[in-house]
Amino acid sequence: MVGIDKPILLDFPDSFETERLLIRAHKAGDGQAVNNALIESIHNLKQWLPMAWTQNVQTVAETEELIRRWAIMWITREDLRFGLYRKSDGLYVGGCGLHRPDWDVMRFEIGYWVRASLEGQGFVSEAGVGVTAFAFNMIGAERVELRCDSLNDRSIAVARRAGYTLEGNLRNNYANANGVGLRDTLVFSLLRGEFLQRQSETEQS
Amino acid sequence: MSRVENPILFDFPNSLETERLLIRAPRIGDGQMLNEAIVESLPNLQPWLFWAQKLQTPQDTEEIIRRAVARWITREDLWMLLFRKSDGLLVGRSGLHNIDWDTMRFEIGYWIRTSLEGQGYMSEAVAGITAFAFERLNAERVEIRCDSLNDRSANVARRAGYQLDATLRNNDTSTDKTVQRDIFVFSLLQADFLQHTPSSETENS
Repeated sequence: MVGIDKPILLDFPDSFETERLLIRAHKAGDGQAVNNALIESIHNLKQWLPMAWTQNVQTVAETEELIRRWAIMWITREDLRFGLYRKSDGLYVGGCGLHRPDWDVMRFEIGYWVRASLEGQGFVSEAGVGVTAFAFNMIGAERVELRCDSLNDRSIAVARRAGYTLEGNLRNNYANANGVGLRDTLVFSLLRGEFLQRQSETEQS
Repeated sequence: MSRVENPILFDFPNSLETERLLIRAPRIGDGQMLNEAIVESLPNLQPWLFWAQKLQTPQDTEEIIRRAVARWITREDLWMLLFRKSDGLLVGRSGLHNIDWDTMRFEIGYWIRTSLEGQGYMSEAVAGITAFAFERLNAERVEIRCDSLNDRSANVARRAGYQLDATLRNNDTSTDKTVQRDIFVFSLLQADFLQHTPSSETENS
């Protein structure tokens, strides 16, 4: 049988490391660090992400409340949101998560953002590759999906670098975050078999 | 794009007609008729529909109908029942589901009672409901999703002019939960619809 009946009882680690990043579940007290990154990045986030916390500047208290809700959803396995921390100095780099889990199908959607001052240094690709591996190796994912606006070239590049395959384009699938017009959504995915193949090739090389 | 701020106050008709069919919102008391159609069709529905794995009693079906009546009023989900005009026989169920009123996006689902398969009723219903979505609800995008192995369902989508946007690989499990399945995503956009069926309003008058 495919799937997990009681994901709330499924154990897996809540942190791991990649070359430059500590990637861990958000926890109470992260609000200040996350809020600084959000304020710095709000113009970029606004463009692509429709959530309230990516559309409007938040107070530290609001971000702290948000973080605590994310911590709750981590425990209930409803949404797995990691914070990314630069190992060299502990700076909050951004977020990466496994969202909208379907535990019957073992399907997840990966999402990510990076603070504006650290763009272009490959942190999102590093996190994307790491969280993808976490999904397959630690949680037993069958499918990880990656969705982005068809105009979001940076996000598309991350998908391709992490080995995802483009499955299609959902035309007029959502309202632009700016509220002007409809946008197309690209759907990429990586399947378990493809990931394992890729992993064994990487280990051999 | 004209999103609906408060869908519960958005007025539109409760029924529509096509050549051979009356298509209408569910009503209290429909449970018995619907249950008969389900019982008759269960073996054909079981390979594709999760809810059809268990036999429903007429009481179960009546309860489900009443919840559907409520969701029609709240505009959360628009179930529709199909009736043959000549004799009032319940032909099947369809409707507009997974509604996103911000994007004006809808998904059509459908099944037909086994004894009426192969007579084009479902294609007729889907064409009618598609026109209803674009003309009465001002839909921007209507989606049809089905298992990639469900040829009949995919053919209904193609005949109604829907275009394949994507094949979501391993996006669901089989209804017996033993294997992963691919899902087709078809869509029709408002512009496609207006271009291909400019005269459907005038035909009615």
